[in-house]
Amino acid sequence: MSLTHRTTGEVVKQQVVFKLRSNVTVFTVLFVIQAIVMGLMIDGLSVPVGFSMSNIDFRWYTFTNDRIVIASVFWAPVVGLLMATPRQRNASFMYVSTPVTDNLANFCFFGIAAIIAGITTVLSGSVMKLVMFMKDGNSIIETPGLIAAPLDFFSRIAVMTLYFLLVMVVVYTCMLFVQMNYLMIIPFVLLVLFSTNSSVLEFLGIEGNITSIFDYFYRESSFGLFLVKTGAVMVIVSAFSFFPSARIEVKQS
Amino acid sequence: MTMISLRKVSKKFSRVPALTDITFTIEENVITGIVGRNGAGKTTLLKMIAGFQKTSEGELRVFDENPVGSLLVSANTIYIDDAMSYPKSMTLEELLKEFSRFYANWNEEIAMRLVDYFAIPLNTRHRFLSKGKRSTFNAIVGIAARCPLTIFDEPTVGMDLAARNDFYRALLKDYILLPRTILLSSHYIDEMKDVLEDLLVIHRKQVCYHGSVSDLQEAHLSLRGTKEQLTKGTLGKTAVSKTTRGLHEEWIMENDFSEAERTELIRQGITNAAVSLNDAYLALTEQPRGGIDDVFNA
Repeated sequence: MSLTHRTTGEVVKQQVVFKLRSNVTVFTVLFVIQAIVMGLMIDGLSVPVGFSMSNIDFRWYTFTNDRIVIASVFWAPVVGLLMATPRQRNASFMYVSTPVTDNLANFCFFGIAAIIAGITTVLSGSVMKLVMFMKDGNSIIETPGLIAAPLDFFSRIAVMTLYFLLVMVVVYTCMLFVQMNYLMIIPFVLLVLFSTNSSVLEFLGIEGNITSIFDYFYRESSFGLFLVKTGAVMVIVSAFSFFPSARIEVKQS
Repeated sequence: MTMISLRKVSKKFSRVPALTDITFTIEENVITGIVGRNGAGKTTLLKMIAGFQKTSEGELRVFDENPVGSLLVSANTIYIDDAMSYPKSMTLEELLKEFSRFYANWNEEIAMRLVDYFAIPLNTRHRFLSKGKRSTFNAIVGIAARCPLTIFDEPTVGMDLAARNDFYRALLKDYILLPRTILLSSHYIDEMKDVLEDLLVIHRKQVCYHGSVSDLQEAHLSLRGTKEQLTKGTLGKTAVSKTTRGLHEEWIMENDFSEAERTELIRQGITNAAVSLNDAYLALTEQPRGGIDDVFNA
């Protein structure tokens, strides 16, 4: 029987399709979380702010999709963690796969998942505006949408996508290192502890600076620089992920 | 053409040896049975050949490549065991479609006919099948993939006798249609003996026999008689195993008896017969401290 010769590109493409088909629930969970948070936001979570002056009573409600963003940002690391589990790896190797194709396919999966999450998160704001408009015609729309400022709208999607992708790639790579050697959890825990403001560590004279890590991305006002920063971090972290990926064995008993 | 070659291969898990100093080659289009007692290292060996696990020492080549990380090996190998990691959300039909996308030689017709024959409902999920049906589905995948290197690790776990017989027959028929290299690991040696050409026996982490099935049987001789008769008749010969059967004993000997010696044994009242494959295998892998009877006779 003659041997079949396959290219990395072909196998990665097939693996991405397989991963998308076998992980549909990942997206279902995202949509359900976003819908639940949106429902809660529209229906009661928003606290009124106002003041009264003689017989005039000012009261206004602020609706924002910030909490949907936060909920989605919590979803992203779960996706990164899920794709690094031995079960996912074993499933990939049930078909044609190598550590390199598996890793590349996972990154493509993250890319697609991040784009979908980025779009739905930003669109959730538009849906909220529509619902509020239909519910109460007196609403003032502060954030311009797709028609008013299309560039802003798309840059919001791009920024959200990059954030999700960054979180997924970082968590995925960390989990691969932990899988390679469980002791690797120690430096990651220490990193989180030392970078977080903790009263215990403060007592020991160690001040966390997680804010500055976040600020490195969050405070960036130029989209181009933000793209370069997140892109560079993702490329470096992704490159690191190939090291544990090549060392983790499949179907470990 | 040599498909698989191992030279002084060892594997350790956290300093605990799983395989030691394994050397053998497997030629193209040969069905080889991999047998050994529990914990002998069969699964570890098969996983290393599939490229799932690395060797600790030595050189392992499959299609003349190191199987770990090799796209050539992965594209031409299928590994079937009783712990396939199918995605929980996919139905059997979807899983088969995925296999057809990945494996170039996938035979949809054979797969569907076998699915029909074994009455496997394609609209269900793998985890909802009975243990026997799960193994049957896995076996169908292994046959229909028609990979140049097909590895079955305990494929018949949970299958009833009829399903096991059908599986071996289906495998043989498909092999005749399209010969390929098949590695088959099972504890039911007698059931798979009609399919096997070669046998690789792993015992105490090492290869203790690799050759044809008939050679293994011919290399041993079963003698029956009283202890005194056997002791006297086999002087200078090597006994591989000794079993007490009522008043008589059955000794499996290394078969270096000449025709004249065999005639003399019969004259002394010792019956000699060819050994079954299972007996030859058991004799090879007998524990040095004796049989299970010795535990109760102590």
